[in-house]
Amino acid sequence: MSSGIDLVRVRAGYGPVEALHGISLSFPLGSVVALLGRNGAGKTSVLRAIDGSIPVASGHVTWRGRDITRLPTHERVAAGLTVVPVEANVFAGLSVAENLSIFARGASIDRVHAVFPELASRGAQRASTLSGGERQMLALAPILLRPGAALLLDEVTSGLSVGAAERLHRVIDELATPQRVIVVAEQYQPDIVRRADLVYVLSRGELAWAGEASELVSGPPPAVLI
Amino acid sequence: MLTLELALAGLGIGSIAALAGLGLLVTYRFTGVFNLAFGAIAMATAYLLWQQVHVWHWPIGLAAPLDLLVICPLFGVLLERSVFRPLQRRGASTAEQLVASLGVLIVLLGMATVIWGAQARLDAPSIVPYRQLRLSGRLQVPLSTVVDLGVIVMVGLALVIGQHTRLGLEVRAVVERRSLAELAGLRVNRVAALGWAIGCALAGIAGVLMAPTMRLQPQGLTLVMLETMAVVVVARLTSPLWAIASALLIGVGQAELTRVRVNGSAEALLDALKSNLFVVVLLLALLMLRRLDERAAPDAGLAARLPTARGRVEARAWWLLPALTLTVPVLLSAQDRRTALAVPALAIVLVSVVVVSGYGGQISLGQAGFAGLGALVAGRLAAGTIPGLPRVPGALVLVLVPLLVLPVGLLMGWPAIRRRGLFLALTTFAFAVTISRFVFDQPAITTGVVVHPPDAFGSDNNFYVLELLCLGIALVLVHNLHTGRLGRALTAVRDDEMGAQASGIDVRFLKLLVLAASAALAALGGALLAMGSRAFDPSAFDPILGLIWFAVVVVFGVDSASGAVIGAGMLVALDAGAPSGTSILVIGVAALFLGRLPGGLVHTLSRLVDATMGGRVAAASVRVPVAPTRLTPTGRRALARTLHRPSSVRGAAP
Repeated sequence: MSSGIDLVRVRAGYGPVEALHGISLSFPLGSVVALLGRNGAGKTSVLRAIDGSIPVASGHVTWRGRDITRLPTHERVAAGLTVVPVEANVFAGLSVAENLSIFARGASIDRVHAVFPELASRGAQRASTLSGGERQMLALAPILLRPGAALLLDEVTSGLSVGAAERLHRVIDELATPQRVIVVAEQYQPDIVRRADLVYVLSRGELAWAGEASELVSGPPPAVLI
Repeated sequence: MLTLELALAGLGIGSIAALAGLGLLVTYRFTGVFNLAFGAIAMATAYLLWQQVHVWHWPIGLAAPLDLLVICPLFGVLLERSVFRPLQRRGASTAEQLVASLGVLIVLLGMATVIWGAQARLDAPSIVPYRQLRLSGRLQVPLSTVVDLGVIVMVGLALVIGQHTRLGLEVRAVVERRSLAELAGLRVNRVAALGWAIGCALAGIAGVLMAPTMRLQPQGLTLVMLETMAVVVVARLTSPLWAIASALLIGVGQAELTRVRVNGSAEALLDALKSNLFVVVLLLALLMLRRLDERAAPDAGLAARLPTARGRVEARAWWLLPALTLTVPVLLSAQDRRTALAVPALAIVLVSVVVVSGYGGQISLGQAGFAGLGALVAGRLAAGTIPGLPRVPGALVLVLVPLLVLPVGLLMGWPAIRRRGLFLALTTFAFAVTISRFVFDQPAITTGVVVHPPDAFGSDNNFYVLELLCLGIALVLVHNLHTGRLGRALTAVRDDEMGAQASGIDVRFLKLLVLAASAALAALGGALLAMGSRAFDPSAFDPILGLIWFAVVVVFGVDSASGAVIGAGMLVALDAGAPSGTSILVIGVAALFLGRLPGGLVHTLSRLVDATMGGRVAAASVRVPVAPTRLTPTGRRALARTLHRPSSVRGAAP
């Protein structure tokens, strides 16, 4: 497995509150990695430390062998990271079409309408007036329009209907190529976990369990998940 | 004919106001920061040009382009880089960013006062040569007005067209949600820097154009520029066209008013209105416009919050420092003790800011107005010159002053509490400016007002004791506002207005209570200030001082009454002992560093002491041990790389 995203003894947090206590994780290229854990376990913080939206106090984040610990977020995006954050993931005051235009950066937006036809008729509507599920579809536009070599997806199925979630899973299957790493953070989502090559379970900002999805799905779930 | 000539004259002032407003608007729309410093940037640019032309004898044709096209934009970029980017990266609230821009304003004001002095100059250089253009017959228009209008049309067009470009869309995305814009790969820092550069250049242009039409004086010019906020508020912080239209209308309206004549006591009022139409429009717009929304502030209650040391009760030992501050004057010479009389009085005024901002979570920039009213009422009560009220003897004045000013606080508070965050802050400021112009600056009201300490407290020593007594009572009352049921309700309103409302707290009543209580306290402090100096001096209650007082309180800890007392001591000591402008400069610099001292000086100090003496107290830093990591063979293989390669990562910690 070739080097994708690596976290080495990363400490990070929010002001005085430390959320990650020196955690080391590896997300190899060519794999889908599920990041599980209870609320507050540190899933979102791991993703934020990778994309640069929270500062890393100590330790290192590398991407394809390059140290990106101090790189500004937009340069990480330019280097191939595509992020769908869990909240504040659309520009609420902008219209749907304007949101798509920002996410597309020149690419065609047809792909979004193909996967989520629900959005096709909403172009002029302000994103703040969308329903929760529609807003989530809009938030997923970046991975449909310009998927980078690393996709960081934070609880992306929340609010989606069963049908929309299935379409999203198919998209993820298509995007899972040997040259890409996909990180999905979820509470516990069997459909996602089954797709994962590797599962990390976090607890209180540290790694509690690491292994294969089949080991997690077949055996009893680790106590830290419940 | 006359009407047309006046209208043309009004267009001159109106177009300068429009430029200033556009500068403010651009910065706000590019960065989400309401840049209060723009008035001071305009003032400083005008002074810089004066220095270059009159002292260094540079040709104006060289100096003006250098200042407006290079120095101002660079200053904007510098501000973005060093002050606002760290705040925005941290996700700082509107209030914190407002305080930072206040810091910039105060630093520039302090620097201008230290370098060029506080006296007024009449020889500000004009970048447009004085020439009249003949339109038709006797109708003439100054060349400068034509140039001003031309600049506005260009800037306005650029803004309107720009809104529909790709850059315009990116700008809106960045302001809307900076973090997501970054994740979408936008160069957010570049957009913000551009906004600051354009905003500062426009502020500079407005300042340079405005200065020749009036006196060059640090506080005066800054305040006049700040009044042009009116056009931005009328434009609801969004439409450049509305800003331009309202600026030109107010300018023309102000000019046309000069034709109106009335007799009797209304004449003074009309005269005040003639030169202060911008202030009146600002206040009216803030009080009456139905919808005024901040951009990118979905939760205005939260956005308005200043960082406080939540959950931390001030240790009793901390009162040693303010107690010491108040003891020092006893040891001073008679001359210095007279100066020190201002300390407890100013402390009461600052505590009034703590009440409204620290406990109530509302930004009040208008305490100078209430303090001045207190001083004025005290003088006229003692002299018996308030219609309908008898002459009031001695210390009774000090009881009546807060009671009489309290309704004024209610009067402003009633319409103002609909507003939150930025707009409430602007309302309080507009109120202070209005009071200053329509009351303090009116000879009919203030001439001959003498303020004396009560007879029994005539000597400086006795008066100091009286002041300490008042301060003590004020602190006890304020303490009750911060503890018990009422204190908890107030804290709930401060931290989460919606949540407080949902749990059955009467938010409107509490906000009103806080505004009124703080007005009464400020009035008491103002009365004592005037008694200490034995005069009513309108300049002692200049609206700009309200901005500075607010900054002092925030710097020393917005919810710290002890910090307010120490702050008052420092301000008075610096004003007495250091060159003019130093105290302002110190406060301004401290406000700029606030981003790194959340909670203010007093809380930072107490945190330091806690950390060195008793280990860390923050609950968040207490870690619960986690069971050892369980790795399956796959997990071990996956992690092999990160766990066992200390040297492959550049600079990895050992």
